[in-house]
Amino acid sequence: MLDIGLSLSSTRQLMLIVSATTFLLLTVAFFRLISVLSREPPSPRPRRSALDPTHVLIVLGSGGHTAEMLNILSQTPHLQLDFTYRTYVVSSGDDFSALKAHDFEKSLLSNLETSGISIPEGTGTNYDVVTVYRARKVHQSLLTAQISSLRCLWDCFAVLRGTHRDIGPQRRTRATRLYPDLILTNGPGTGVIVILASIILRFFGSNSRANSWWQSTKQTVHSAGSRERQNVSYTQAGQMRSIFIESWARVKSLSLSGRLLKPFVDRFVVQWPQLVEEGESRVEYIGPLIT
Amino acid sequence: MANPELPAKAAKRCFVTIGATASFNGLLKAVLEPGFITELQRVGYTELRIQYGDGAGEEIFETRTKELRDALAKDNFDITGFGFNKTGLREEMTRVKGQSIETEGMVISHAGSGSILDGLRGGVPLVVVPNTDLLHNHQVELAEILAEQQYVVYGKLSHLSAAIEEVEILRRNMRAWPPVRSGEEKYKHGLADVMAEEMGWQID
Repeated sequence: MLDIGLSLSSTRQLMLIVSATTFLLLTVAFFRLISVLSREPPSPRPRRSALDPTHVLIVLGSGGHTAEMLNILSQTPHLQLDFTYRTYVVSSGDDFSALKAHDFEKSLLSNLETSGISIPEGTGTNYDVVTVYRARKVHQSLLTAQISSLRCLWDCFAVLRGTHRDIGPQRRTRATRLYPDLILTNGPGTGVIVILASIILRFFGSNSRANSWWQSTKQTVHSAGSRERQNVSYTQAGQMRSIFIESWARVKSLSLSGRLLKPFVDRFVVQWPQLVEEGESRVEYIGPLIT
Repeated sequence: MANPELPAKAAKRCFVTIGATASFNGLLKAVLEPGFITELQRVGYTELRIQYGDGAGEEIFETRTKELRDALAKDNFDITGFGFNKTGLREEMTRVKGQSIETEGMVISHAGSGSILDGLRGGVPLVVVPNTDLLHNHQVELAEILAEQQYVVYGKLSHLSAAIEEVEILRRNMRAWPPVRSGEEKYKHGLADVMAEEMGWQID
């Protein structure tokens, strides 16, 4: 009787090892995901430091969303000074949004110029408009939508990693590549995929690896220039923190994108106080945004 | 100095837009009802201009105006229309403003947020008519809240004529767009402050 327990067949031994390993991996993955999704508030970082490049990524999508996002962002007149590099993501076939992004950059710059603030060289050209494969066309069947969503996801990885073909060649080199510090989206389907891609990249820690490499280069450059060695590595650089802005048209119920993204973004801003439920800390109303 | 020539009667316009993405024939039919037009004339309107959209919209517009035309010719009431305008409708909306409060007309719009914002930004009295045929309609909620806050008049398809009189009241106490930030919010600069916070910057 006692023998049975000790003499396990080799297949059963193998199965035991496999299931134990799977269990272990799932546990690790689970805790990794928890740590990726629940993060500390950012630590202090000086604004507009010459040695600290900053990168914001703005998701645009279809007429209404694009117009609303750019209208809200037109109230951040120093966007180009605060963020040394801007990426605008548009979906394939959406020439309107691409055009609007260029117009937006031009008008921000001309407003800065008339305000008389000194503008560093290259401020007005330090941005890219990148096109990703459209996640879902209107009336597209759910099956093919899955395939096109995967193609979109693939493009989003390239955008976030800074290797996408639409990114200016001078910004695509290894030394200048920069994960976004901040991602802004207000609800197009593409925004959901961009956030998903950013969580997958953070899960595998690719942004922190790339970042520490970038910062070590930066520090060398800096210490060569001045005698004392200063610490210019900010832990939140390239962390892809995300802000979701619910559409102005949503007064009492969240949009599909909003409901999908609520647990996954760092900040969730709505434009009507009616959407903030009692005891709900994730949804924030910060006053009217659209003008 | 010679006086600039004044038109015999200053125009008071009503501009209607059904939107560019979905057809909204219910609204089209409602503004071409003889009863609605009579009410417009009673309040002093001289012109009705309609953005009617696609082919089906055009057909409704043509048949209805043909029936009305003879009766309206002697009343000096104009009805004109067009399908779409790729450059946007802001110009059409500004034309409605007129020279003074006596000649200021109104815009009647579907409840798409882009058109509503165009109207609000143009500072013209606006009637927002949600399309109740659409499923899961959140347009009604937007129209309701904006009407409650005295930015617009909420127009119901079933009795749109009522909105004409409501506009005359709104005209006198319409709230100016954009809404003022109260200054008491934690984030004085709105989204810019939330962005700064997420970057770890000090909010100024």
